[in-house]
Amino acid sequence: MTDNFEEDQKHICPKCGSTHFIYDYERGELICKDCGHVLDDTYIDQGPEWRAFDSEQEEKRARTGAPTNFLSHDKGLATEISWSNKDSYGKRIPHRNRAQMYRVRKWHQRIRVSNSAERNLSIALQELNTIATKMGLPKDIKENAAIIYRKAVENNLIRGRSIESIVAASIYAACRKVNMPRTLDEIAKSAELSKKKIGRSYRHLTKELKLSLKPTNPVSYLPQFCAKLNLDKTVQEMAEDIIRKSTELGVVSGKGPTGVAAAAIYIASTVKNQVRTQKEIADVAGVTEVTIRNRYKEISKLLNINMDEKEEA
Amino acid sequence: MNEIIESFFKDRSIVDHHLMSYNTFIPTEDNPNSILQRIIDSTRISDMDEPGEMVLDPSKTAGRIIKIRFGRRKLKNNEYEPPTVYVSTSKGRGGSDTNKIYTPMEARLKDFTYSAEIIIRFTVIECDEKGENCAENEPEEVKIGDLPIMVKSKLCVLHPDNINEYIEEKMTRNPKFQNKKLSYEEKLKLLQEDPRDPGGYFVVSGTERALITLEDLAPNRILVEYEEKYDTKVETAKVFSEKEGYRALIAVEKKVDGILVVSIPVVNGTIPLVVLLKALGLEKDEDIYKMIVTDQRMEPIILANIEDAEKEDNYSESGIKTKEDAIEYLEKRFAAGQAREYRERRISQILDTNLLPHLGDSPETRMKKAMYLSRMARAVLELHFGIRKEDDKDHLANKRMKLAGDLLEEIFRQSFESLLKDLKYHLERTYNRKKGIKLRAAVRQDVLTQKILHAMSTGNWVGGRTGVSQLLDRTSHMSMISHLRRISSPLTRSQPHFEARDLHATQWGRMCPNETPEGQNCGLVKNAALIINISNDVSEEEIIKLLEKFGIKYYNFDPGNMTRIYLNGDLIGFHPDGRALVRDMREKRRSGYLDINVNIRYDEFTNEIIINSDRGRLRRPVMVLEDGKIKYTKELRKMILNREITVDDLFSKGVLEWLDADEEENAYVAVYAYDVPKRCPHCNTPLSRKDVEWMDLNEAGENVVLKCRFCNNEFTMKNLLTQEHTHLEIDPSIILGPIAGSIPYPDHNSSSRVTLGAAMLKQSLGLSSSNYRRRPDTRQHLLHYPQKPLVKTMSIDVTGYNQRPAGQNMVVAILSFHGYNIEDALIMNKASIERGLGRSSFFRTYQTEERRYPGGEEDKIEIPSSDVSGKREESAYAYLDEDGLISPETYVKGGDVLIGKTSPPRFLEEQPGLLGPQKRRESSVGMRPEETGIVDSVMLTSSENNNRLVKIKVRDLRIPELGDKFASRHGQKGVLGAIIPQEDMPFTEDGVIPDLIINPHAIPSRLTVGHLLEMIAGKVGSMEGRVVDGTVFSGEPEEKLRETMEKYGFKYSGRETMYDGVTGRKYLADIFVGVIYYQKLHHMVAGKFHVRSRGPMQILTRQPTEGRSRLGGLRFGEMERDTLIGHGAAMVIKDRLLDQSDGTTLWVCGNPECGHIAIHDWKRGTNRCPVCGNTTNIYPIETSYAFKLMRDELISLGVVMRLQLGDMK
Repeated sequence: MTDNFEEDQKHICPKCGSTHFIYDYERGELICKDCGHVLDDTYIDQGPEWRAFDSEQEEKRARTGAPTNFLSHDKGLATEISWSNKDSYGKRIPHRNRAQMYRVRKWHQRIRVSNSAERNLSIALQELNTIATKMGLPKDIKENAAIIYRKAVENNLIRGRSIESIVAASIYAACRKVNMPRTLDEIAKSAELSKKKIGRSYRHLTKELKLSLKPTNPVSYLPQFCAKLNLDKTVQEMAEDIIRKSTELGVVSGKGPTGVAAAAIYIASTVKNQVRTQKEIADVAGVTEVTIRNRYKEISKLLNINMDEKEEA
Repeated sequence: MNEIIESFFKDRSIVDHHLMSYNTFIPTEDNPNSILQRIIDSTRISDMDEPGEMVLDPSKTAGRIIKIRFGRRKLKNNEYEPPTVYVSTSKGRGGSDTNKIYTPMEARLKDFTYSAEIIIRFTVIECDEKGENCAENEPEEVKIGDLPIMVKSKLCVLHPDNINEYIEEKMTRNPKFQNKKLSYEEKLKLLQEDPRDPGGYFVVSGTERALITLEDLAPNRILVEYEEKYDTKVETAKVFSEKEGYRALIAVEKKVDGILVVSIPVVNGTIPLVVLLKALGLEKDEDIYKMIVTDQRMEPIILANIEDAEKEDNYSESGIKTKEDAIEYLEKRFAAGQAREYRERRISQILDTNLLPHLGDSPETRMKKAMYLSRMARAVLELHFGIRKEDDKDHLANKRMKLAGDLLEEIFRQSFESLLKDLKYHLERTYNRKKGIKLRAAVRQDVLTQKILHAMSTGNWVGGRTGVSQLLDRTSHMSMISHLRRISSPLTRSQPHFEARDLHATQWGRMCPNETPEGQNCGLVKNAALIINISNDVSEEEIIKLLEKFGIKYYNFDPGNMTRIYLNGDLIGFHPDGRALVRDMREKRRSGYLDINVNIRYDEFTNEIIINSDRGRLRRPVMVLEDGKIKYTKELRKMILNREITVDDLFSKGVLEWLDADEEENAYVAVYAYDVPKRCPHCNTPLSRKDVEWMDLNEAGENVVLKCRFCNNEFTMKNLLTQEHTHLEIDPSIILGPIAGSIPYPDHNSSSRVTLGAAMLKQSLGLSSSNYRRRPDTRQHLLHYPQKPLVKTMSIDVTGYNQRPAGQNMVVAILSFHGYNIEDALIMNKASIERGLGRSSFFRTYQTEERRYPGGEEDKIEIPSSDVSGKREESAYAYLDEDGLISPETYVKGGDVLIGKTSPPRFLEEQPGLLGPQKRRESSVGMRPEETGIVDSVMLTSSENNNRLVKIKVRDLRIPELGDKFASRHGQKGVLGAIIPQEDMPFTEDGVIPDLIINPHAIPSRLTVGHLLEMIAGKVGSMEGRVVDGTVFSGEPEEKLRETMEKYGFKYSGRETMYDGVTGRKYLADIFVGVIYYQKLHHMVAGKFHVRSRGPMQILTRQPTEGRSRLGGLRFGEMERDTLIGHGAAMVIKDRLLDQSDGTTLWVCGNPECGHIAIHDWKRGTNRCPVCGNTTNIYPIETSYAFKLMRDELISLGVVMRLQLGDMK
């Protein structure tokens, strides 16, 4: 029986020296894969300890608070003085101490943000949440953006730049990091900042924080664009195919990913007879029609796609 | 009158009340004055604002006055501006699939919330510092959040009005449907829905949720009662005054010394009534007297009250005589020592917002409030003098039902207010004169969406109520119907509340008398009767207009000799002839000049008219009688039967009527218009009520003409309707709900058995929905060969039970069988089981999502490689394909992995490398221990966060085995005690071998005669090849069934000669054999059996886990321990309680001064006490971990437990 059941990677089988183990969750045993020696037979159940059927039971049984949250400047670890005038015994606090309690509460609230960096964070993260919510981004992207922003604060990258621009840049970086890229235009629109400012801050962030973000794959724009253009799965699949082939042939390297995606959609939609005009696609992708024309000509020529042959829809 | 009931459900969902409620809540084109719109119109976040508007703090907007309007304004002609809120059709959200319309089934499959966008038109009005030169900006439409859509409501794609739009798109793409006309049902099937699904629920994060109707005390009504205070009875009048979600309890009580006092929320203590009246502006003593006193006996009390207030040094030095005196007194009491301005504001706040808010919140309404308080005082005195009786709190007239729409109203109002507060804060903070107001940027949609979603998914509603939204019960079709018609009372389960649990006379026809759970919730959780209506609100102006036509009079004081008229609890006027007014008003309603939602009652004891036009009154249908004749005619019946008109037409024509509990107090409802003779006078066939037709409906005189269904001859019976009768019951069988109503012959059972039967009906397995293969329910049952019951009821036809049955007709013999069926055990025929009897499948859906974590790490669905920590044995992953998923039709058992998954190491979020290189963790989804099955389907899709989402459905064949539970519809349940080969089973003379044998002892003490009758009826049904009707009160007569049995060569008694299958000997007694519908209940051995030798331990106590799902141990409890003590088996106790539980070795410091727990270094083999530094004197002690835990907890309290070691003697 050992106490280190959690970190099994540190185990070495005392009988044969092997480091490969098997967990038998049903019998609660940790077994050496090579010789079958049972190292531990008191496996701790990792599932929930209790179940609560209403909030009353939950309050009774919970021994912890919520998990830490990067979207809040104190990670959600703040203490709060309750507004109900009750002491720890549940007795009412007498009237003469009410004013004092009120002041204590007020100051407690104020000192929660202790220094300027904290204050900066609290403002910035709120801003981050508003922008991200407006863009309909999922929570994990928000958290990723918050982590990037926190790193920026730690490395003193904010100085001389507006909070908003760094926040927007963090969101842009986070989106690219999880392969759900959003165009700078979109972010600029939601954050109400100029594209230039965001771009500048973004370059600054990537350089200083060494965020090695690979160039965006045009494919990752496809679901979003296709949905906005109301195109179905077949078009999207074909566009994916086009991009994959052209990447292999190297026509798209060095070209803007949105433009490539737009061109691929243009080709695919035409071939699949769900025609969208260049203008429509250009608006959605945030590129010019000229770009689409150039890209699609290059690609169709190289892949030998005849755009006049249309499939039956 | 069966045709009326059938017609009622022809074009109506069985959960219509929820759908109607939701449809009045949501803004649609045909519902401009929606409740949602009304909430928005009335919302304001500060008392200073106009309703529907918000003014930004001028000190934060550079002195300029900026108003933001979101509600409608009332125009001069008493009409409203066009709506400011609308709800977009079901647009999808999340990830890259923006703007994609999705269906309820897509939401269920992808764990989405089936919701619509709420969009509000905001108008910004900018003014200069003085509030002049206002400029109204162009209105801006902003999405404020998402609203869950009720399935099959007007917002739902499944609604007949919306389905085409969606279907057409789908059809044009698929050549199969080109130029094809589809029926509504076929369209529903195309959207993968069950065409018989009633709707009325929500889909929240992929789970179906029902909002349970809440039975609440009616607001704004005065209730008088005795209250026990200090061992004396105190007369009190209480009113829950409610306006726009704010609820205040105002009470007037008569203290023992005769002084009337008022209590108001927020304010501490009570205020003398007279003082409060004076403060409200009722200054003159004479006026106070006139307002309250209607009986000479009240005079001394009221005079004493006035004198008490005016007496010097009593409440104030000079006594309270004027309004100013009274207000000064209130100021001194509730805002003592504050600034003058604050004092005034505080008192006007108490008088205007906290006191009787439903009468208004402006100083102009104070007089009205004074009159209302006087009325309450009078009620208290009337109770005191016995003029009036205590009000009955359990009377349904004093209750209101809160349906889905009302519940959403509560949650929306609260969420909308916090959205506006957030909006205001944001706008004030970011205000910039040059940039102007950017509404779209400032509105935080997630505030509202999250609040609604959280309430819907947890059931925690505003005001701390829990269990409002519940996971929809899909065990069987009937259990779902019952769940959606459930009505729950907010009274706490723990207190007795005997009166509240009792069946109340007003529940007749409104709530099912039998369908209620047993135990703590008994009588508090109820279910609606078969045909109910929950009233909608009608504008009071319409009613007042009509009343004025009939000569309603207005007086400031009660003239005493006239009928008082109350509209929704408020005294609005007087009329010289109450009886005539009520008659005329009802006449108007029946002829269509007054909304049918209005109900009127005349109380002749108090000479009062009570008019109700508010929401939430539970009402029941009855047939209207005029001069002792029903208004339903032969012509109408013909039209109903030919579907030329619907039941709604009968209601609007005044042939049928909805009665609320108030109006029913005036009604004298005949249950039957005639009696039916035992046998037809012409053909001598035994008759039930359904076997005769009432020929001369409204033309009947002294006698009614009836026609026998069998011989078509007419005969007469006495007309039971008299001049005194006001109404006739449609059919008494509709007093039961759909569940209890589907039990045959319940009127022959003892009541408790019907209640039990109704409870078990909801646990029976069957065809719960026709789209069961698509549905991703976590648990799901399917009976392989369900049958429609041979003995049906009217309710079975109406609820579609025959289309979604849950049971099988079995040949049952009642005899004891070698002791294998004692104590309600059942014997089943093995051959029957092999033919498919009671065979069912159990489906369980396992699911997982490829989550992304902060820091760019994510889960991966794959077969875990060998360097993953916590890996299971290789064979567990054997069935996985390369993509980490299992293939359909694979046989799997406990512990086998269905989805291979690895997760990033924990605590890696910020500083990688701090803990050294870490391995990925194993986080596969495996089969539940002790369950087996075959993989039915594997689904891969993307979730709301655009992560990969896998759902795997595993099916398990459940053939009846020993211990499986079966029940008839009469509360007769039992578990299989033996499965006997067909050749060993007893058989009848005809060679019939029963499917099931039950024990005769199950019958006499339980008095389930209905069970026996159903067996006979089932036998008759099988012989004649027809379905027998066993509806309550009108089932086929027993006589007739017995005679039919004789016709087919059976005995009149239903008994048959039987032979022992083993010996072939004839049984001495004849055995009662019949055919009866049996249900398989979802308690099966396969889901319950459990063993453990070794297994997982709990983290806190290190004792074995609890419960089958966690592979837990079986508790060796105190009483079990006692038996071992009795045997002196000490070592067995040690083994159970220590070695096989939480025994641990502790290293204890032997230093007598210290006695703390020391540290043992396993690697070096050395010991050290961290407290005293001792390294030599340390010993291992065997103890339970619970003991160590207690020591630790004591230490955390600052109490040290020192362990003193000594040698064993």
